[in-house]
Amino acid sequence: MVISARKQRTVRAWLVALAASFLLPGMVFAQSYSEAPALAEAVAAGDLPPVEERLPSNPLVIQPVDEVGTYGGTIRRAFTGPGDSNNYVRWVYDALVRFDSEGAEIVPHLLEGWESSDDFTTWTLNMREGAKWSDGDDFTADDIMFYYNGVVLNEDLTPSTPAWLANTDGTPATFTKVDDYTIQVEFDFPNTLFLTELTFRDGADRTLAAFLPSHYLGQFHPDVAGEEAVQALVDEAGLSSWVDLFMQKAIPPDNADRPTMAAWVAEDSTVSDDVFVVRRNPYFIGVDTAGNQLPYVDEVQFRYFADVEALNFAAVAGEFDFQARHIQMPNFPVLVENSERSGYRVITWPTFGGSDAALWVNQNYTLDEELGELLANRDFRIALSHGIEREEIRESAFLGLGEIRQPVPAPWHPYYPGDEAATRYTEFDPDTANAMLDELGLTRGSDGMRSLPSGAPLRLEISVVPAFGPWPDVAQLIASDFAELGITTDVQVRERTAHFTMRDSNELMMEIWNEDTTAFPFTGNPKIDPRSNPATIFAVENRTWYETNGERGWEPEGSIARIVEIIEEAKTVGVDRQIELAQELYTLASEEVFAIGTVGLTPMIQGVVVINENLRNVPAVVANDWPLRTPGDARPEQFFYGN
Amino acid sequence: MHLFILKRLLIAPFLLAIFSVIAFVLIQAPPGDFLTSYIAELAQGGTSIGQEQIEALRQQYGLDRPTYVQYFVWVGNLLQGDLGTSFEWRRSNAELIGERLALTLTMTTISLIFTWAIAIPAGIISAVRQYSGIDYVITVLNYIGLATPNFLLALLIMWFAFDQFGVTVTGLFSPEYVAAPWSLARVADMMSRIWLPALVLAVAGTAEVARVVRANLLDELDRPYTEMARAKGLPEWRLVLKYPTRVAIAPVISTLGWYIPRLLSGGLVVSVVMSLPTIGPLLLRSLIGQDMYLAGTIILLYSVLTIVGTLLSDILLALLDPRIRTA
Amino acid sequence: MSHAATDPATTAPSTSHDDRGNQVYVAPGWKLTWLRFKKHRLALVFLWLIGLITIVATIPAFFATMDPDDSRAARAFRPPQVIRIVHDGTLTLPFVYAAESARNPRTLKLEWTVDRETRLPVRMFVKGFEYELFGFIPVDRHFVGIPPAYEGSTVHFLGTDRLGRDQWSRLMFGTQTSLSIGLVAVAISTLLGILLGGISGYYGGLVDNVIQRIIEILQSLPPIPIWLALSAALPRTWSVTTVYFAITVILALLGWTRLAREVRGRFLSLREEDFVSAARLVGASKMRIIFSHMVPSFMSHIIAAVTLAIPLMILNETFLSFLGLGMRPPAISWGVMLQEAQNLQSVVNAPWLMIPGLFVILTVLALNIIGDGLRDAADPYAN
Repeated sequence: MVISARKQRTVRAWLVALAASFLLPGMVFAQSYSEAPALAEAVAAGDLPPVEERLPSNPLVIQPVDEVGTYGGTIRRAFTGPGDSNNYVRWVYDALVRFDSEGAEIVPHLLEGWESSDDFTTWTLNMREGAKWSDGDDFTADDIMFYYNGVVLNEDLTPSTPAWLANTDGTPATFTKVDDYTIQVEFDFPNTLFLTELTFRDGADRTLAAFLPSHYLGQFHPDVAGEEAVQALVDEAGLSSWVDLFMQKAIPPDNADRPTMAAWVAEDSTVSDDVFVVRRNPYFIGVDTAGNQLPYVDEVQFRYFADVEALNFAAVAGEFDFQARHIQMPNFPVLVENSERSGYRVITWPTFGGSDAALWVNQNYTLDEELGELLANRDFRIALSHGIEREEIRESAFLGLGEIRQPVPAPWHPYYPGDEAATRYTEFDPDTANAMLDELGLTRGSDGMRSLPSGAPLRLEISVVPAFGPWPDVAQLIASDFAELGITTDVQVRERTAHFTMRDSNELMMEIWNEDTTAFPFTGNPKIDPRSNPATIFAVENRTWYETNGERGWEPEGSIARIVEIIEEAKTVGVDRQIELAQELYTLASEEVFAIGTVGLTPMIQGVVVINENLRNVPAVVANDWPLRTPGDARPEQFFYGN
Repeated sequence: MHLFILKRLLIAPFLLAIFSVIAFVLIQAPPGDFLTSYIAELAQGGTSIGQEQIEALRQQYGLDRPTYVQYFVWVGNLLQGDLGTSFEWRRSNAELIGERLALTLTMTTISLIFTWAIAIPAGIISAVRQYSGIDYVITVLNYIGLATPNFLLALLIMWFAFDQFGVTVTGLFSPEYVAAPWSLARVADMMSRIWLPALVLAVAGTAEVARVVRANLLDELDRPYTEMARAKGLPEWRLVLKYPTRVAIAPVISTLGWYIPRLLSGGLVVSVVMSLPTIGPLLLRSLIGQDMYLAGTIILLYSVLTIVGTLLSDILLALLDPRIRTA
Repeated sequence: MSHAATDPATTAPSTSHDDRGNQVYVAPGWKLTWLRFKKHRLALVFLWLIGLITIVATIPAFFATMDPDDSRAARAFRPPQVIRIVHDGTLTLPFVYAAESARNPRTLKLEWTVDRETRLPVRMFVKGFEYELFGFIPVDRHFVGIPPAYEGSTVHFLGTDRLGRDQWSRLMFGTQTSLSIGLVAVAISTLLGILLGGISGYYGGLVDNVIQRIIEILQSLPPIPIWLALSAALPRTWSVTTVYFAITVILALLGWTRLAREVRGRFLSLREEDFVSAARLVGASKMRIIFSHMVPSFMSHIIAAVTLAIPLMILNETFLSFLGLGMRPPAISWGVMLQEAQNLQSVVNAPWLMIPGLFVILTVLALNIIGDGLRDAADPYAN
């Protein structure tokens, strides 16, 4: 895969941004603003205030990728039902702060800027004066304080403090309203990752974001509307508690009446409908460099498909204007071949580091003690790693795209631990592998297959979910490579729910899953952190130990304990030390090969992008990852139709 | 006869009770519940929800209650005419099923008409020209229809239509009509697409019907009244069509009732492949996602239709065949 | 009607060849059926075909040219190779042309160009990969293939799949799996059907009522939830082989109702026949009546019904795979192969991956027509 030169630039900038206090330079455009024709008509008819009044005094300026665009048009997309609401979350990327399109820098979005105290314990959030919700109501500090007082501090809604807001003693951080447009957040420790965490709080998500429309949701909250009034509404709706009612009303994709700050808002449909339609938000805070209020495109439609194959068919037939989610990479050739006659172009956005199919090895396997010890033996994992013919996997399952690598960050990322770690043990070397296996006392029988030192047959199992494209194929190729080493390996293709249930009950030996969190090892749910949930099969007993505060499960030792130490330290230190720690973490990971990487940096996950040939301003290169809400980080607000 | 119908009607509630239990047991058989699959779906997307939140949801959905309580709550609501709410869609089951029912029935009815239009003439020709070349050709063609896996045929036709004519046939509506309110243009748009899945469905069913017609007609052709008519010099084709054919297709008509449940479940595969908004994919999805009240309601609806259909068939059979009526 | 005139059952008494007449006269029921069956020429042709398929299913490795799991990326999506006997206008022994693959840099599609210079001979009974005939005789001969001297070259009569596995060889092994599932499932459901249908039909009364209600209930439920429930109930740790047997049993457990109805109907009508009454009058035991008199008299019906049930099982196997409830790779069956072909890239760029569908169609067609023929032949009152 060609990596653009732009990407080679290190991502240091965003980390540096954390250290220095950050303030956006004042508004450069003091001129008047323009708006979409339909909105201008509404203004003329007196149905809408003029654009200057709808925009904040200091609007967000979005730099168009190629050129300033023109208004109009509909973007047709596809989704797969209510469970696919992230499809919409990613598109609107409605957060206080965002990552830029290269995943390099955290930039202001709903917020105008922020400051942190020198010791990183206090963060000041500066809001945009005059910003408005999609119903025209003011967006102020009260909307963040409503989240804090009404949600975080409310035991019915939040039984335990969310990890990202927790002090060292488990109590929530303190939020203070300084004035109508300023909030202060105070921790009892230097929280260097607060801003990164803030990028993940989507206004559209099913978990409640850090800013909520207090004027709308207040009517469903007993603290604001009073218990009696809310209870009456609960009874009327036939629900059992006010929490049910509140949650029903609070989630934008489920409730078209709920005001949002996103560029497009629902008017009368939800993700439970056959077509979920979101239309231009007349109060969106963003403008382009010429002062035109964004978004350019009037409307975005999400059409429901029960079957992914049918969705891909519709993509080939040119029924979508922008679609990467649910497009299957193996269909790339068919998509390209039909692009001309169906009027679209196809580009690829490779994943943001890690591995797109890694073999995770259970370090806490309990169902067979001898096998458990073997899986926890580093030499065994190294031998397995050397036994995999990765070039075959790359050609067969990934169309020859991507790079052979261990699951470490991408080369252009500051966390990259170096080429040696990235390619460690990835060389196809059956001789070394066999020698190491012999050394471990795994002797071959008359049929050429190996047994455990106790004499019991050695039989491995790889569990795989057909979640992302070619994983079952990868599993089969690995299994046949292992068979060449004399290790009988069964592949079990399982349905998602069954696989996850077995993962939680620690019944899996090995699984194929991706490692897509290497750029974010200290926030969210990094896959290398044994405490993450959801995570992989890698260390379930260790996770239980942390979850139960040492009551059950296994206390982690050695490298796994070190991983947790590294992550804990990184949460409280400055950028330079974070980079050092991340590099140490991934060097360690590649030495231990808990996850045996195969191929990475392919467009496997939402990276094959089908775009209407007339749609402009779509960046050729975008950092593609869930924490970056791709394609939200490509700034769909400034996509427009040219001729 | 009346007694017979009365008896069947009296048994029906008991049958329904049994069906509701079976349906519930079947849905509960796979391990886990709706939340297990919901959490798995979220996890695949990278989102996690806390244990407390899961417990709260479990309580909200009533999944923490014992199975038998869940069952009685469901049945209790059903008896009051409340079909329940879908966990996944967060909408009432009545609404979800309702909007798909009409489309499902339209599609399967059209397919039934296609089936008969192909199968009855085929069966007649086959019988009249038994063991001739045309009989073999018809038999083989019918069985090819039966033998072709539906999903394969649907996908091939879809690709062929797109590749050759630039026509896309996913869904029952063109993109511009999907969300549009009902209008004549929308109906026309639907009709321009619905015939294809209906045809795919019809192809599979022709063999069965044609075989019944052929066998029955062969029986009738040997009967004395036919010989008599022939002896009297009635032209062969008129002779065949006048009486024996009527008798021969009677059983086909009388088994019409059996098609009623199939109207609902038929075309699951075609619907999935072609992304059609019918009941089948909804049932499949609700079963896999363990959206149990939705799945249970659809299964029960199917059972009701089966009972009604069988009863209808019995009545039709009795009306058409006096020997049973008097018995 | 012309068909009546040649019916041996009716013409036998009047024929001038006495021994032939006698032969027919003393022939047991199945022989009469066979004589009538032979008239159905189409069925006879298909019987041969089924015979061939059965042989393949018994020793698939002999007919395979390669290990069905042998994958290689550079061999992926290779179109079927045609066996030729004419090279440069001259007649030669059978051969195929070699071919080269290269990835198209724009579409990333693996494209093949035939190399008309290099010929690979195709011979019968060549040496190839080792296998065990019937599970215990080690053999390395194959029905057809490339001589071992051309080590490294492979031949793909039906092309290769996305992993470069030989589809011909996979089809041979898939035939074994799918046919045996069909046969075993039908065997189990036949036993169940005869047993329960027989009991129901012979005893009648309460037993009959109970069994009939069970059948009605089973037939009134949509099959998908039953399949889903049963296949979800399979332990998640079961190996591919165990699941294979489990799927068979599932198919059987749901497939017996039709047969049971048919058997019951036969019993009901036979119970009143003169020869049964006669047997009863001379004091034959119930068991003797059932097994010596009644069962043989409708054996051919059962065979016909069974023949018609096998294709249903085969289709159901592919259907289960389509829904993701059936067997899963690395198992090889027709259903698995079709499921793997069930995507855009196969339909558009590798249509030969649909060939297993032709085999399903052919087999189902054949069994149905044979079953039809048998049924016509088995019915003593049929025209």
